Amino acid sequence: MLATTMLLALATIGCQPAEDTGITVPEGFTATTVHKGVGPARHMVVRDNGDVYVALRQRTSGGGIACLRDADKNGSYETVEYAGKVQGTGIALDGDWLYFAEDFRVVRFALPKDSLTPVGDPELIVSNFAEEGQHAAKSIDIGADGRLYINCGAPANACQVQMRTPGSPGMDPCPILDYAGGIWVYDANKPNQQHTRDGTRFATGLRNCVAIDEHGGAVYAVMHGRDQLDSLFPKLFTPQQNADLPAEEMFRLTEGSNGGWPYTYYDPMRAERMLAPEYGGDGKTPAAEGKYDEPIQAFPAHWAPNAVLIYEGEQFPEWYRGGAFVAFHGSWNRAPEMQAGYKVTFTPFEDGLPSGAYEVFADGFTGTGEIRSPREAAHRPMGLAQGPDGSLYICDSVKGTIWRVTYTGDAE
Amino acid sequence: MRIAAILAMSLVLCACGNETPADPATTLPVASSADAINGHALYVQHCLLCHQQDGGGVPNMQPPLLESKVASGEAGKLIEIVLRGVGGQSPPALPASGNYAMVMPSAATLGDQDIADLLTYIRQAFVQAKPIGPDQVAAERSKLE
Repeated sequence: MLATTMLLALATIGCQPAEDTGITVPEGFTATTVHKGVGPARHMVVRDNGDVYVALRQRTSGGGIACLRDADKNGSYETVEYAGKVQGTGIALDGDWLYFAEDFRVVRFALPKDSLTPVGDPELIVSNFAEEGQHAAKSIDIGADGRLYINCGAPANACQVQMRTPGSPGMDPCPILDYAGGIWVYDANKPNQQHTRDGTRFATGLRNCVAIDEHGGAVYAVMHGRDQLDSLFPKLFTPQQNADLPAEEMFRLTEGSNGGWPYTYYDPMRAERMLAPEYGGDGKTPAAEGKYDEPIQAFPAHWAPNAVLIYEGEQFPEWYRGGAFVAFHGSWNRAPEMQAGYKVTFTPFEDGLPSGAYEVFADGFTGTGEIRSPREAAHRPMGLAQGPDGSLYICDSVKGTIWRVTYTGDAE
Repeated sequence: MRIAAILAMSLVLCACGNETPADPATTLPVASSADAINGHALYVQHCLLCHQQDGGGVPNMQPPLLESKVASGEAGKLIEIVLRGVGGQSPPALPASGNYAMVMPSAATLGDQDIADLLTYIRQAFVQAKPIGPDQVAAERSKLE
């Protein structure tokens, strides 16, 4: 009876029950599901007319690009078309071109104004990436300078002589850095370029930065740190230490930056760059000072940062403007400890650098709280994009669910 | 003696079969013999991080062992995977299927008895298949040399 009265009271004061999106966002924000699932989603972009483009890891309904439109502008993207005989991770917009990064080539499609789907055959922009498996997914961004930035993940954990083999030393110098383990930059408008011949290595020493965003002349990148410290070096590291080491590092990269992989890793508890065990480290020896970039923020180990977005909109309150949202896909390599990550964080910035600690912005993606295996997660945050009205779009890799987060609180 | 111990472990596993699945931490089979304890310890040290505690693997990264036809299939093939590893550039690793991004290192430095114990644990825990003996591992190893 009391419950009924309370429900009635809620109804009479005009509260609309919030849509159950399954995710939580801070007070003053509202998350709505704009699509329940477009397929195995990776990165995502939103065009200036509000159309959404999602890169798919595997083709769905014949296409690797999910193209969504909300024609009646009611917040639900009712039109979905699949286009492009491609599949992969990276996607970027530049005027009337839609760029798409498969694991081993980057192409672009013509996307005429007002057309929901790209037209014609893809034009090859860059190819000749090493086909070596691990960390092959390519992330891309078109910079304000009109250049094409490509993350080339290292096909290795720590550049060992014997891949992922206990006790095997690291190759010195690491030959992988000649063609991967960094970010390369290419002419976005020149077809048929070859990696690495026609590009420039913009930044190196980066194991795998799936999360990149060019902003203000720098590339903000969040790196997947190395794993298996304990299983490769059981005399030096415990499983608990492996669960907490190393940090996932956020960098502000400029031409010539070096993130220190594979020679070092970053210990978030000591707040110090350490010598990797493959190169003589023992968990206690710091790396040589001044040789490598310091992270601008250190996130917990193994959270798997898969997208970063510097917020350029004005819809969100001042606190958020110019700051960094990071989508964490969530760990698998903390086992046997409980897994972690599976959330979107926000870091406030001032003058292009963090001005405070990160805070959880969107959470609840797993649907079940703490999980022991990634298979238990209902959703895993994967892509971030900003809409023309300043809304934040988040997509997940399990079902391809897309959420739109808007600020609905009081104006400042 | 070894067969008896493995049979005992199988019985324990069968007895658990009809129960409601609990927290994965508690669903690891009880290792009840020296071999089974060794197999479990080797799984924790060499395999668990990637294939996970429940053998379920990680989508798109590492394949599951749980209910895996490879794990329950021909013993020789399973031993070959462990001896050679999968993916990566350096031969003699087996070629990757393309469905999973991660490479698997060779575990050939483990002895025949250890590999037998490890695979027996995996087969008992995740697919309810027959144990594997050190003589089978030795036979496969000789083919590769």
